Amino acid sequence: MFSTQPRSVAVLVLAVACAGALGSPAFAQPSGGVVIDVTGAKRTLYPIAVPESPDSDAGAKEVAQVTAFDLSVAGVFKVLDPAGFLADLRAEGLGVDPQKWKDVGAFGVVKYRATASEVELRLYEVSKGATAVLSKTYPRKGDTRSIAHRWCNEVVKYYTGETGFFGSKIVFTAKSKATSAIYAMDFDGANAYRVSNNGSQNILPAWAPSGGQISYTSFMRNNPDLYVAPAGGGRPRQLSSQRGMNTGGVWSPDGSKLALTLSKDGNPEIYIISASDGSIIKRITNDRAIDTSPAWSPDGGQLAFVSDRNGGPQIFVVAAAGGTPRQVSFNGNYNTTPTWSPQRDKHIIAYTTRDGGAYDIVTLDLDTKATTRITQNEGSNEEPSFSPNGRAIAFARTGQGVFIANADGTGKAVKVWSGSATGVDWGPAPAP
Amino acid sequence: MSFNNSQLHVFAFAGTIVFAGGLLGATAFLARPVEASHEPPLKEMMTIEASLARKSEKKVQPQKEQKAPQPPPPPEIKEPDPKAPDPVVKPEGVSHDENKKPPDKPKDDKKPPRKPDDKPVDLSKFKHASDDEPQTGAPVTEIGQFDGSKDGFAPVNAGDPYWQHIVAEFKQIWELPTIVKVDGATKACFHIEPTGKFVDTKFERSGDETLDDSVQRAMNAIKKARNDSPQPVPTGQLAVIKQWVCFRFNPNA
Repeated sequence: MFSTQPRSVAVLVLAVACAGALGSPAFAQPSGGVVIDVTGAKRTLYPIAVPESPDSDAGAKEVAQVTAFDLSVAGVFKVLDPAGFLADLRAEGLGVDPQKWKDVGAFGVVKYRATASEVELRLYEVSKGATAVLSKTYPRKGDTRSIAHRWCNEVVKYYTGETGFFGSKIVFTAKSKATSAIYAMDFDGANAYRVSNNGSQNILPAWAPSGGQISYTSFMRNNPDLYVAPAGGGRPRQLSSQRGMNTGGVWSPDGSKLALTLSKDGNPEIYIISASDGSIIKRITNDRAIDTSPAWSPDGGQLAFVSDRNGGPQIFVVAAAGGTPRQVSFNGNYNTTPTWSPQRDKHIIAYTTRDGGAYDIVTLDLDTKATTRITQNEGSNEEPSFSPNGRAIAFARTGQGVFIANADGTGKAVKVWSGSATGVDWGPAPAP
Repeated sequence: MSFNNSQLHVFAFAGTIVFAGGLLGATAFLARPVEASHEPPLKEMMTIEASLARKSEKKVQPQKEQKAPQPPPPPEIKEPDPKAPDPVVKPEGVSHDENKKPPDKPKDDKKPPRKPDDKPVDLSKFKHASDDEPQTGAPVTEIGQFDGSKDGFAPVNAGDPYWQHIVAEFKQIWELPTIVKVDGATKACFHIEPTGKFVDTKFERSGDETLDDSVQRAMNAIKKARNDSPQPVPTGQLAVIKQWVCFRFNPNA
């Protein structure tokens, strides 16, 4: 019944051999056990190293110092201590030995080289090897601080897609025994200069959105009038001199208007005036209560302000076109100085709250009603102001100075100016 | 003296009249109106004021978030060796007397001493025709010889405390920066000896360099920690370490 021809036998033998081979363990598929899953890594700040360049002049040390400070207050980085670095910086030059930086826990490394004419900076992600992921060269004109600020904005943008706030400025009132003057400085406290130049009381400064002007209230003519001065200091022009108060002026996002408190009719109320000539555009509030401290929403459509119409001072929100205000703060019985986060996709207000005998900064999410504490058990903190990208908050700590803190409440506040300060306002983002 | 029925009825009726009249009179006396001239004894009375009170909820200001303290690592879980004797219960207190002799090792009195006239148990009656033939050749002394033949192991072993302890250690060590967006999963496999030492590693990349790098760092840290202080593999898991022991890291799961 089976053919005994050699060809048929060969085919049969081959078929048996193949069947045997396929069934052998060498070709058997693994039994496919379950691998144990490890989920949810610990989410941390990004560890980054900023070593000083041994090849640069002494003046270029500022590059590392300013870069390290900027990245440490950006809210997303952990700047590593240089004392623990293992790499041979001279041998590395502008490059990196990735393993040496992994060994100290770094995920990123910033390297720079400064000559008399330029500063070259590079960013490395050690997981991606020895090739820089970001490189920039800046002409060296004057001090290197501005170069470091611009570089750090690039680094922040690389990682987060957001514009950094390095190189922006803060304006505030510095109080002395008899007078108070308006000062402006770099956000990190450097290059502070005087804006107002009179022997009177000057309070409540505010940046114009362009960054070219600063408004403030001054008693220089024996009445609290609103003035506008060039941001670099200089002779101010009187914008609003209504009878009574002309205080707390804040610029609309488009720079065409200011909201402020006027008491010309006997009671402090919120008004909107023209930024060009100070003429009254609209009265926003009309209540027997004290209404003050207006703050524009980032889209210019709403105003937050303080009113005691329901008892103690609380935060209210009203349409900028006018309408019925609604109370938004309910924690405690004393809430003042609201300021709106510039992040348009979030509706967050920061303000001063009194808890026991101390004043602290909190933020309120108007959508979720969640409140986040920014300061606690760190003195008395008032008058918050958001950074241009909304990631940080500047405020005044009574008797100590101007501080900045993460807007999400993490970490500790950092002092940027020492002295007696009030009326803090963070200016717009610097030009790229 | 006896009474007839009619006399009894008369007496009963009279008694009823008298009784009812007495009750009526008492009622009338007690229900009489108070005289208008009667004054309440105010001096003797105590005025009690009562009011409704409702406990108000104490409103608490929001508190600043503090970093939660790192939880202590889970306790070491060792599967007891059934062959080991019962642990010795140490006496209370610590003796600092250098001349004090350590306590004698307790005698294993679980098994009673065999009496000389005890007959050995005959097991042959329990044998079946299908029983395995007696082993021949040299006995196998090492269980779980690593052969690296395949990855993973059966689901029944994944829940064993020994492996879960390693997972807990990974979760303590494995860090990923918040601003980094990663995608995929990385697999890390170990060759583990019965002593608990990690002698070799195998790594399957996800393609995301930052994720892979973070897992590699965690692997190196676990390997160093486990080799510095190895924890023996429980007897029941020795067969598992015959293969690669793998962990899959997915930060987005």
